Amino acid sequence: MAGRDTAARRYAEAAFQVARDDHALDAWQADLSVLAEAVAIPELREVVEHPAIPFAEKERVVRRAVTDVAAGPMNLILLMVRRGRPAAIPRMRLHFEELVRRDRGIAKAEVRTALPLGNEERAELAQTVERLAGRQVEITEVVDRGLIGGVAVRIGDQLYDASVRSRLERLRARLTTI
Amino acid sequence: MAIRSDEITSIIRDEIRSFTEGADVAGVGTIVEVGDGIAQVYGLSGALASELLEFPGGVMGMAFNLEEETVGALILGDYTGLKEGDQVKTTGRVVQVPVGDALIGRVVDPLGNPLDGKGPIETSQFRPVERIAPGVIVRQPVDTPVQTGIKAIDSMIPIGRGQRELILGDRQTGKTAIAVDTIINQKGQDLICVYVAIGQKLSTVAQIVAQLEEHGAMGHSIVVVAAASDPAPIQFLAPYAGAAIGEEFMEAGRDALCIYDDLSKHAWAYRQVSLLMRRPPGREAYPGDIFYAHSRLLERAARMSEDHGGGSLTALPIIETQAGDLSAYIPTNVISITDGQIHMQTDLFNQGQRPAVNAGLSVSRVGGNAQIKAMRQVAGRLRLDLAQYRELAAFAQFASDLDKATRDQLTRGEKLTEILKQPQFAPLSVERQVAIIWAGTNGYLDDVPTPKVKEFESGFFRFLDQNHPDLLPTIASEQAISDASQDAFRAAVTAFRQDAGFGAEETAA
Repeated sequence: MAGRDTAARRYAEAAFQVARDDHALDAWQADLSVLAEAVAIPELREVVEHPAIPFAEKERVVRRAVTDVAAGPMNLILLMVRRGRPAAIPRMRLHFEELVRRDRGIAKAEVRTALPLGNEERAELAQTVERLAGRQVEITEVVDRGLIGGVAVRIGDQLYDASVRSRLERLRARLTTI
Repeated sequence: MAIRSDEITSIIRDEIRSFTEGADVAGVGTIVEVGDGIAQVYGLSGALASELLEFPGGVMGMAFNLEEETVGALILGDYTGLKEGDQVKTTGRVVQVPVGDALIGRVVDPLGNPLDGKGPIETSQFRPVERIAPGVIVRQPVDTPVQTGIKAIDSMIPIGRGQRELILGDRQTGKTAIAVDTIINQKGQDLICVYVAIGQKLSTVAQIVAQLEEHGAMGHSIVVVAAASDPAPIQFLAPYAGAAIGEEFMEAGRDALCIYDDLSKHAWAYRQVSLLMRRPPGREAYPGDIFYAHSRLLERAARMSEDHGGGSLTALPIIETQAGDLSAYIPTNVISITDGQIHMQTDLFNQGQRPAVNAGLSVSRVGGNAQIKAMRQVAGRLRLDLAQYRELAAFAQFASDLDKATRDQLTRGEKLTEILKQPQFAPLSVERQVAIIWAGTNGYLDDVPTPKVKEFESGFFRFLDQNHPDLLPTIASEQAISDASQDAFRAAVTAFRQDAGFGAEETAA
């Protein structure tokens, strides 16, 4: 069954293949983020998503709003607008970035801690996370007081949870089964 | 439940010791949609089919639909506390139930949690709820009977160990009563009974458990309950959990009986979750694999070969028909899967023919091999006499005067029909059934007034116990009616008829 992301994923995969063949991944990524952010501006979004405005008009507006991008990314965005998929543009961009990361062997990791990390801790943690992921990682840090203590690392769909909260939950689960 | 404080202290101490060690590793996803007992979870890319999932607050779920980006999960518990954005974790285990002797005498839910307030279930054995049925090589033909203790069934629609016999009929025709009587009749024997209640009122379930307890039948029984108030996913799982519990006994070389009461409600529950999961609807809006859902469940009933322990799992699925419609989707499906059916009818029930078994529409495709020889000796004649009676009874309604042969046939049928009536909670041992059916088919009741047949039957049993105490035990041990027993029977019946004055009044009148 088609999920909410299926369309976005298909466009992203096609765009990624074109970009890789042209050896222009970085340029595509930069252009796509400019375009996606432009289309996300409320006034512009209203225009591209409006069913009564003809496509030629939409194309003119988008081309005027964003000028300094390559032809490829612009065509992709216009194609998505013409096919009635402007709503999928933000997710398409996320998928595209994910594909680029995967191509370069970089994983995205989210590190949650109860307190902000110090520089030394950050370096140590980065090493550990890279070892866990088995490749380079791009770390996002999140401070979450709900963890109470410790750290929880999420790499893709895998969660390595060494927080005080998960320990307490496990303790509670064990105590309630007695 | 007694909590020993020193145990808790030691557990907490162990937990604190291991506090700094390692981390939990689990696949995670995020709820994007939740409601009606199901959830769509984004992520969980490594989830297994029917893997147990952990939602916040200790609620468990089951991976049901594995899709490209999301997992459709059935929530096995209270879903009202869940919301969009909650984290879901994989557990690495498929859905399983505790099994083994610890469950005997207990009332549990389909996940094995006790519902009877008798404390936790002390077992370390678990089995996955879903399993592929045993193959051809490990099976052997059905050759041992399940004695239901009901005359109409043990004589004409015999059930063998490892057989799948469907009980179907409208509501209020005594389907559950047959199941309960069968369980009660196993008292003191080697058959373990698993009663799976699917989508029934809790008051009904409580009543059945009370009946089993009252007749001392909980000592060899397990009750699995997914009540009408439980979410559909729980009801969907219940029969598979019951089958898993029964399989454990079968693989240990023991005999088990599993009653699914009833599979119509199971089909409804499966239809509900399938439609919520947006699987395409088929006939009567049931999902396309409803036939497979039932056949894979009932195929798990088996008689294992001696090399594999020789155990058995007998299945008695129950289907409730609507206004006697046997050709509806689910009844025809299950009829075609099972090895025969016992058909219960409202009009028979209302005529006082209880159990309301329609002998014409009921069949048992394999059970005949499982009957003991003594029963086969008397049952052939019984079936024939009743079939002729049914034919004549319809015809004789229009005729004013009938020849003697026809009248005799009608009388015989009337008495035999009367013999097959049996009150609830009064299962009979097989040798007693043989005795009374033998008397009936040999014409010894033809001159007994119909209202007095009951009296004749109980009097006859009493007479046999007192005056011929070795006759019934001989039948039971020889499993057949020898010529000597035949003569002994003839003598006993004649003596009893004179003694109790049966037959005399008829000739005087």
